[in-house]
Amino acid sequence: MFRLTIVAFHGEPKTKIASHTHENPIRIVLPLVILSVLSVWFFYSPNPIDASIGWFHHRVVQPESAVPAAYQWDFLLQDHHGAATVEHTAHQEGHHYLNVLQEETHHFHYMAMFLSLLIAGSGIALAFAIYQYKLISADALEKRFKKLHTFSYNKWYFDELYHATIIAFMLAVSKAMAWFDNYVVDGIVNLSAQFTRFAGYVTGIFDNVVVDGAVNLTASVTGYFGAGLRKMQTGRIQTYLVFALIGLLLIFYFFI
Amino acid sequence: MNFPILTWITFLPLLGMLIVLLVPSGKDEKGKELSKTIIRWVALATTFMQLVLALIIFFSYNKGLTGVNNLQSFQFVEKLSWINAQLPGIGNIKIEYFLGIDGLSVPMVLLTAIISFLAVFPSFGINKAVKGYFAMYLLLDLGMMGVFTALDFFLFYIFWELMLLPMYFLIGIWGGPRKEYAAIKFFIYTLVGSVFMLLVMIGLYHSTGTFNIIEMMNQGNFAANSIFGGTGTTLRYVAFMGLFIGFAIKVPVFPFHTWLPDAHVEAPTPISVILAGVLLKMGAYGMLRIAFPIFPDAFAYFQTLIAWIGMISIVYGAFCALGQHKVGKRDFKKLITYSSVSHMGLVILGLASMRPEGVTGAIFQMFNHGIITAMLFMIVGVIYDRAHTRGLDDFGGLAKKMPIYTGIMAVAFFAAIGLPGMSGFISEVLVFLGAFKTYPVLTIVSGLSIILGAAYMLWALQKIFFGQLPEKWQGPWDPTGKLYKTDDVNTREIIALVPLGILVIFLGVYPSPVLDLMTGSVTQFIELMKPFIQ
Repeated sequence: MFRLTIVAFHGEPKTKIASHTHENPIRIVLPLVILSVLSVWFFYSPNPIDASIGWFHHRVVQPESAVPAAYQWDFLLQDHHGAATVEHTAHQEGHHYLNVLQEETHHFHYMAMFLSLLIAGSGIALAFAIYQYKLISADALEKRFKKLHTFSYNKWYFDELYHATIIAFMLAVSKAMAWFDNYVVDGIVNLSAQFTRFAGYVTGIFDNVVVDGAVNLTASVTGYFGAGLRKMQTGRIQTYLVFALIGLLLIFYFFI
Repeated sequence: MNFPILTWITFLPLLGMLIVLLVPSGKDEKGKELSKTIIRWVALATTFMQLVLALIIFFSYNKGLTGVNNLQSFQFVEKLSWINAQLPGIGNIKIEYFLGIDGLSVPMVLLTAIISFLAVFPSFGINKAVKGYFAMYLLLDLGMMGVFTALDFFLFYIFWELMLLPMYFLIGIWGGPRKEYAAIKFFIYTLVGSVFMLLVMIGLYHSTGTFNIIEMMNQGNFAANSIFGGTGTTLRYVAFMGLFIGFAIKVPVFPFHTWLPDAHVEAPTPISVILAGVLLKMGAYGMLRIAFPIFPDAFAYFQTLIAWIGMISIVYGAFCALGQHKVGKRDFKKLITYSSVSHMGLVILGLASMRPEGVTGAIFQMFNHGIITAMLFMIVGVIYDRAHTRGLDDFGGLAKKMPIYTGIMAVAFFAAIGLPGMSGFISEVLVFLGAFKTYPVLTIVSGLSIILGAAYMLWALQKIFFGQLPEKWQGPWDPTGKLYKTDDVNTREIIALVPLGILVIFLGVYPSPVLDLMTGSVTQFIELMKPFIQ
């Protein structure tokens, strides 16, 4: 944050566009002012290290504990003597703790506050040292910790990681499924159609060769006999008389 | 009410079809154009009157009556003896002309009327064999409306089959390059399902001695030693599966869905709109009206399987839609088709939950999906008409060229993703609410697919509207200036799209008008099913 502040607002304008900048119109300044006021402590409480005297503290309903019920193990809910519900009044400041949990959490409050202030302060100091007073060269630092710098510059490669894992995986799955749908599921459908067509083809051949063959066979057999017998139809009375005589002789031979 | 409103709303398209067929074709060029214009307006007037009748039904419908398995609480009932033959040896075959609606069918009747009316607008762009097209279109309308109003199984089956014929020709004649393949695939695939249905219907007739769907729901009407008598028998399970597969093909759910991408890709725009908007709902409606309440014991047996099928359809459809960005030719229509598979899977999951929230959500999702997907297909139609391609890679930067179109499309896309404030969100939430109680794990997995939905939808949105406009689309769509006067959507398209957009947002903010129609019937339906579910 302070690198941003120093680079952007302190020192001389670095580019031509920057030297032409001017104060923003009211429609931008007003929301910014309101948001700034809302972010400063005295808006909520006159005392920066004790919120309990401010109006905000009284207006909001506080939860019983910031620790979820699942993590409030039994041993934490006892006081130092092991009694479950006795009010602990060891502290003379007027604080009352129902159990170890509340007491221990409270002890960490100040430590957490000072620690975060310390870390923030050193960060600010470092920003001033590097960018405002140029005590340390940013370029030299960059060269020294080249790998760390690239890593940080690329936002820990988070986007790339995400692309290579989740997105690539999803796309691969979708590609595979679309392929599966096109070739396997629809393939089965088309295969069943092919099968039906093949069955139809076989039935067609059977119908053409066997069933219709039998019909045609009957016809050709009939025709064959017809062609053979036709030769007997000579039209001459003498031939018919001979046939009649042979027939008569055969009847005599078989039946008499 | 003595006015046979259901007969009118169902057979009005037939009247329109006859008028269309009687319009003379015209002799010279001018006469032919006039004839086409008259035919188009007759179709528009017919479907408009149908919409008016649907609105009359909507406003005069008594929300206190429940229907489902109680004949007395059906509304606008018409019951006439139709086929009544005394056959020696078999007995008395009695088929009734029996129409009536309850909370399960009213939303569908409304949806059919809305979609049929609005899909006439993109149909104005059809220039090939206009008379035949609108005759088939109106016949299709008749079949769809009939399915949602019939209460006699035989009559239901006739309407179901009746809708196949015009659909076959509408895809096969007015479709894209592979229209013959798509048409025959659609026809045969659906017929496979119908054959199962026919066999079960015959079995049911022999068990109950009636084709009346409501009487079939009463388990006491099954003769004790008939094939579907008793409860929990293998034959009943087989019959249920037969019906379920028959309807599942139509929904469609994994793995019976592959006819849909082909049919959608090849069908002309208005037919895609009808296909996605109304026809897919017939499958889910069939489950709700016939398969589940007639075989509740079998439903209980297969409940988990059905929930799994729903979940697989949701996730699988979403992945396949996403995969359209990476495999082969990236077709805009195919993307929306697979999103349909995913969204109809939600309906199945909601029905499988068999809880009031889930079933209400499922029916509402049927309605919403009809509206939203109709919008999406019209949107694809708009650029396909102009650019003659649907490839996602062929476009980019259209937002500058077509700002109004982009705005309408954004509404449709965000509705399809299920953004709060849009109707799709309400139904998705209801489905998940119901399903979570019965199948928590399946619901969580299905819920995650919403992320995939956002991914493929936003991806397509970016591809088409943002980035650089390709060189070839820089100029006006039609250099002659005859077809398109402006670069943006024309008035006809706006008239078709905007009402749908308004419905999507209105029902997203205030869904009660549609939800109230069905709550009573859904409760009754759950009461009917409850004794059979462990």
